[in-house]
Amino acid sequence: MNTAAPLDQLGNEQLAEALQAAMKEHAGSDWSELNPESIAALAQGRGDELPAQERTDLLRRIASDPDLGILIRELQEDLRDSLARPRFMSTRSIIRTAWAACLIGLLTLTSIRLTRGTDTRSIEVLDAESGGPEFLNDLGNAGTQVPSALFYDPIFVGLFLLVVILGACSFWPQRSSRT
Amino acid sequence: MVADQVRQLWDVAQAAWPGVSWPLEMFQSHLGRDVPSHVEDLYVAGAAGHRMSEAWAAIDEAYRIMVIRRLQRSARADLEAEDLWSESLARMMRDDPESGTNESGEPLMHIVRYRGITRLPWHFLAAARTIAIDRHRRQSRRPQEVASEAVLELAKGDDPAVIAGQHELADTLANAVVQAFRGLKAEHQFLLAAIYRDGNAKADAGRIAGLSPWQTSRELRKAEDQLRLQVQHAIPGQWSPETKAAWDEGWRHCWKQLAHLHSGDDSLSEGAA
Repeated sequence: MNTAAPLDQLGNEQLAEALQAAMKEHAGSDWSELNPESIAALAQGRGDELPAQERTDLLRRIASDPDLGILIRELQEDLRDSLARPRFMSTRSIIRTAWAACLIGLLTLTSIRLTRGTDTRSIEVLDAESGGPEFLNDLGNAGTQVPSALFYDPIFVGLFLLVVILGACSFWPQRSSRT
Repeated sequence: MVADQVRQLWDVAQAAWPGVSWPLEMFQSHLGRDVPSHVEDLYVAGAAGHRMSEAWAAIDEAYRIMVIRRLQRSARADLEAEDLWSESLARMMRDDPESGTNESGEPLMHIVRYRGITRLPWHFLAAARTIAIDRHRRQSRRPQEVASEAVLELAKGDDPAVIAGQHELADTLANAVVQAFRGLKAEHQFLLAAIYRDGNAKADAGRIAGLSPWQTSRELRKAEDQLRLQVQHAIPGQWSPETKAAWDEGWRHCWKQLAHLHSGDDSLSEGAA
């Protein structure tokens, strides 16, 4: 006995065709009343400047007419260099640059502090002690003490905070807005 | 709007179009309450709409080459870019009695509907592209029959009663999908069509719908789910796990067909869901 649900008897092709048919229901509709400015604004990603009802109607119309989809796509290609970029992008690129600079500064500072800390400790050990094994132990201790000392360094802490804040600002997802 | 602000805008617009002197009062009435993004273009388009020949000459001189170059980028319009520019000009020069008359009592021209939302050359470019594609589709395409498409590929050679049942079922499914699609939000309809039908990258489709990339993915998923739920509701009792799997496969099949049609188009891979 066949227990499959009736829809299962149809192939995926029928389903795909039904889906595609839904998306071209108004193919061949009249375009005489289309407003070129609205189409251009939409293609540029500036649909939010259109009246809400006009924008909604236009989106519905494009969704049911594949030729309008082609029109929008060609206009996007035409206007690729003038497409609305998210306003935040220009600000974000500045923030990212600042973040990169702070990160480089932080790494450089850390490197300098660690190197100096190690050098200082090495000299102290060499002056105070003459035994080989003790020198090695102190050198090892210096490596563990300098990083914790870094967190009391106001410059390091400031840079670290800046890296965290700027990093969060520059990589946090933002809603696009027009230019 | 304050008179000083209008005068300031008028001065800026006049400086941008020195060959076009349109009276301040007319500019003010054309401007309306809100200042658009492209006031200078609104000024020259308003003057052209009021049948000032200097304005038309200025538009042709400033924007003709800009628009034609962009039209020539596309193979579709390569050989007729000049013609398309001329036709878009002619379309904008049509009488538009609904918009009123000028001082001489003549009807305004269609370009007076330009609102300064996008730049004037892009307005002409969109008009030219619309003319080109409209002409092409009138020659080569016809409106689609919706329900009949779904029954073309049914199995042949089976029992006639079974075939008839499958035809009926395919029609039911097609109608259910169309109805469910109609019931979706405009943004959801657009995302599904732009990505699965037109092969746009998600980011491009989302930008048109006013969504960020991460919102686009979320809304696309919502659109797919809502469409499925509405079809499921329309055909109750026939939605087994196998059908659900077929539904997902159906979307992939849409995409495969599209990829086949546009093979060689790199942007498809970006939009694949």
